[in-house]
Amino acid sequence: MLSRRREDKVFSVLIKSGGIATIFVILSIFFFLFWEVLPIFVPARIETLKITTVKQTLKGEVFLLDEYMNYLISVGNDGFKIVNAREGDVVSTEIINDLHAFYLDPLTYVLFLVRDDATVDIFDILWVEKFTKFGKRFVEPSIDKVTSFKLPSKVDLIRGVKLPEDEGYLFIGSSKETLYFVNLETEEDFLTEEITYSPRLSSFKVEHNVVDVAISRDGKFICVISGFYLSCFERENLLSEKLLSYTLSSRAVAFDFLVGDRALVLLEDGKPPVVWITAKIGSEVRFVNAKNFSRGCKEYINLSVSPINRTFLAQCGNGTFYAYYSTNERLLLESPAPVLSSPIFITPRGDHLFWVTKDEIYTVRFVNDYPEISLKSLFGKVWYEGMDSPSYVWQSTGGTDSFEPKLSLIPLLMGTLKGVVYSLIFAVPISVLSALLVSQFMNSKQINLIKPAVEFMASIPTVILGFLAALWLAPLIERNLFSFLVIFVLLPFYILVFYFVFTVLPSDSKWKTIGLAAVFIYSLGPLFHMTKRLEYLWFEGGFVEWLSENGVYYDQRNALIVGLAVGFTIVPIIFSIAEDAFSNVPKSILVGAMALGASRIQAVFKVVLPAALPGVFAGIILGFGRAVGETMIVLMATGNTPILDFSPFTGFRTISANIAVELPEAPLGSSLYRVLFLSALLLMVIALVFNGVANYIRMRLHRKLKF
Amino acid sequence: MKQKDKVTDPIFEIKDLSFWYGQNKALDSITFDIQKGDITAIIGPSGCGKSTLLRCLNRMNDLIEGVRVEGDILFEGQSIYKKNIDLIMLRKRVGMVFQKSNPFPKSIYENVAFGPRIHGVKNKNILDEIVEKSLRDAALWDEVKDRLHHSALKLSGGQQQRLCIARAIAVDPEVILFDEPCSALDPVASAKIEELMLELKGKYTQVIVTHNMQQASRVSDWTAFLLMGKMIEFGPTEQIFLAPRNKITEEYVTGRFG
Repeated sequence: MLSRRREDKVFSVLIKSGGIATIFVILSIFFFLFWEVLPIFVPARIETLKITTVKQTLKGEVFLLDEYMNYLISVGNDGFKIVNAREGDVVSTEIINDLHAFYLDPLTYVLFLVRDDATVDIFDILWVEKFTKFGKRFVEPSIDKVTSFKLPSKVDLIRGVKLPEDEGYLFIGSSKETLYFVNLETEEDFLTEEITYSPRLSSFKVEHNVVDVAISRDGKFICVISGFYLSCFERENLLSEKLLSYTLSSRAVAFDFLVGDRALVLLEDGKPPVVWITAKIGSEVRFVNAKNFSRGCKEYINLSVSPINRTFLAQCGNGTFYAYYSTNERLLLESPAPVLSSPIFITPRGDHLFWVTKDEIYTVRFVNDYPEISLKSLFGKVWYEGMDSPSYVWQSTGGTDSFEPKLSLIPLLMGTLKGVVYSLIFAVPISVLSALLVSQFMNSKQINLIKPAVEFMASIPTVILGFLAALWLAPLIERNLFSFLVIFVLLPFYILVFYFVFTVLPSDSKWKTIGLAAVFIYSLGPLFHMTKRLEYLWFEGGFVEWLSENGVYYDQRNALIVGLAVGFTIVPIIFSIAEDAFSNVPKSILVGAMALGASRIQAVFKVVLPAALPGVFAGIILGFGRAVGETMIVLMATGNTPILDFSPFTGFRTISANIAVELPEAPLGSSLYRVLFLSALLLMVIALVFNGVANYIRMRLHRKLKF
Repeated sequence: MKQKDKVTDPIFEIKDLSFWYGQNKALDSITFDIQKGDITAIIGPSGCGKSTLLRCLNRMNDLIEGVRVEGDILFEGQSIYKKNIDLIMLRKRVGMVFQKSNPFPKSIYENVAFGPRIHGVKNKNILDEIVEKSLRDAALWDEVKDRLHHSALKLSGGQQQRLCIARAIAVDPEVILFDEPCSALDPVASAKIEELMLELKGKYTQVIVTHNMQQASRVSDWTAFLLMGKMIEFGPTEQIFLAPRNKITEEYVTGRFG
């Protein structure tokens, strides 16, 4: 007696703990996904202020830190200095007495100096790689003079960039209404391999005094503010063909190109920052004002652009500074500046901000890991650089670091929906009708044949289906698209014709059925040939070619193929739920309807089907949930192109396939990584909601039909 | 009213009817007539074949696999077991009410309108009329007239059964078959059904299968007593219950077995 009670207790504990463990596991998955997604919701912030006291007074105006923040380069009217940013010691000093103007480009690490005699010196700031005795990497700056050249006259304002891939330097100097443009192309002596630069100077006159100039770091675009007019040009058509012309309404404080050279930021007093991006208008490239930012200053004092992404800082005279992200127009951070009037700079890795006073270097950690993620960039239309209009695009990685990530989930969600819809179009009629047939018209012997077959269908590994769909079905349908479509549309009517013949023929023998079935199957061959002949006559032999000539693009691996293959996997699900629903409709109802003189078909379609409809619907929802999560087939049988259309003849990319494709290549903890986890969470919620709804409907139906 | 001894105006003539479920013989050479306009009761102990016999009258047994019929039934002089008989027409003319009420999971209105609809009535006004008349005939109208479009499944058991009668009446049959219509009902609801049957007498020929002998004696004009698939006795109800000619009948109706 006692042992039996103990046994009961042990088993009840075991069963309960099993149930609790299951729930716990599901919750843990949720928690894990959510935990991985959580950081993207944390806004950008600054933290841990560090101050280094410099042992000499710094007269510099612009500053540069290396990526490890060991060395500070300070450039001012007296020359430049290298300072140990950790200890405060001045490492080297270069005093230049006749310095007239200077420009330090923080992104291409190049320094231009103009002397009183209109000589321009170009210095490269090189980061020489070193290792500590523990093997830790660090860099030491070395400021090397590259070349110098002479301008016809002295200039007050200078700008310049180092072109990528050692193509040379671009330099612009201006004084009043004069603009000198110097292109220093690299020339390599093929014997000595010595590199020289030959400056080619062109000078321009503009209508108003030049206020500021910006050069894109790939050397493609040059923008000039003269007087109150801002204009942008291609380098080759300087001052002739305007890509942008804009009239300022107040003082322009700063403007610069963002990383990637396709976006120009302007800080104009009393307005939020203005960003223009390049856009294709027709066949022309133009700068368009496609972004809207909030806040901004009455009086700006400085603009800093991030060297690693499209973040930029706008600093106000009243001590506030804002961090923005260009792509999604996001205001990342609004913060009071710790020291008024010192310009704030961004470090090369973009993870710290720093500013420098006479004798102190301040650094703060700038936590800004996911600036490109926002509701707008995930779910909204964004006008990306170089495109002709705002759009939903998923393109997570590009060839270069300056690539603008496009993380819209809309093409993936729509791709998922597209896959599901085409699968359901194929699966719903087949599975519901066969469930009706099995539950209402078949005897138990036939049912015992059909049900295991359907169960076998469910057990086929999807990788096999995907493989068959991609390598066998896709080429087959591409070759016979026209025949396939015609037969697909005509088949139901064709079957109806045979059914009609079946009812009209008087005999009752089973040979009638077998004979008709044979005729039916045999007639499919000629039917196929007839469609081939028609295709030959109407479309000059190639329906697919005809389609593409008429603007309908045809991918070999497309939604139709996926619909067939994924539909195949969800037929068993919908079938079994629908069959269950039909079988649960009490037989007495069917009999009652027939006792009123209804035919079998009438009784089934007018009484049984409506009564079981919620159950059928639940089956469809469950199939929907299954199709949403289907990965292998869509991965193999679509081109995985994240495009946004609903054509049956084009491919798509689903959320699940996207995770499978991109997660192995997403850097741990990166924005892409987090967005993929977000999409996984989304997928899980969708699947869970659909399952829940389906089960709720089924339970309600069971209760309702119990009488 | 004095009972006639002989069926004079038969609507059904059952002739030497035998019936098999696979190998099991359920009915054995049954022969009797059903008087038009009257109520005929079929009584007998469980498993005697009375429901089977009833279902032979509108060929509802056809729905079961592996059944076989011998002999014949004439309905209005026409064999219902000959080839190419229009079953839909037969079942329209011979309605049926089942042991367990089986309303469709639809509204009350739709339940009653179902029959007329499948027989081609589309006009809304005519349907409304049929529904009201049928519900009135089934003595259900006053109870449900305010909730015609509510689910029929919300009605009580007795109401559901009367709804099924209304549904049968709606296709304007000549005969209504009742298969133990009160076996799932309480005495009050049963009494209402019996009352209804008596009201419908004359308009429709009614055949009722029941194992409740009081019910048979209260409502029926004619009674057939079946035992083990054989017809033991058929005659006017009074005679069967008061002066049975057969000894077994007497033992059964007096409750000595059952």
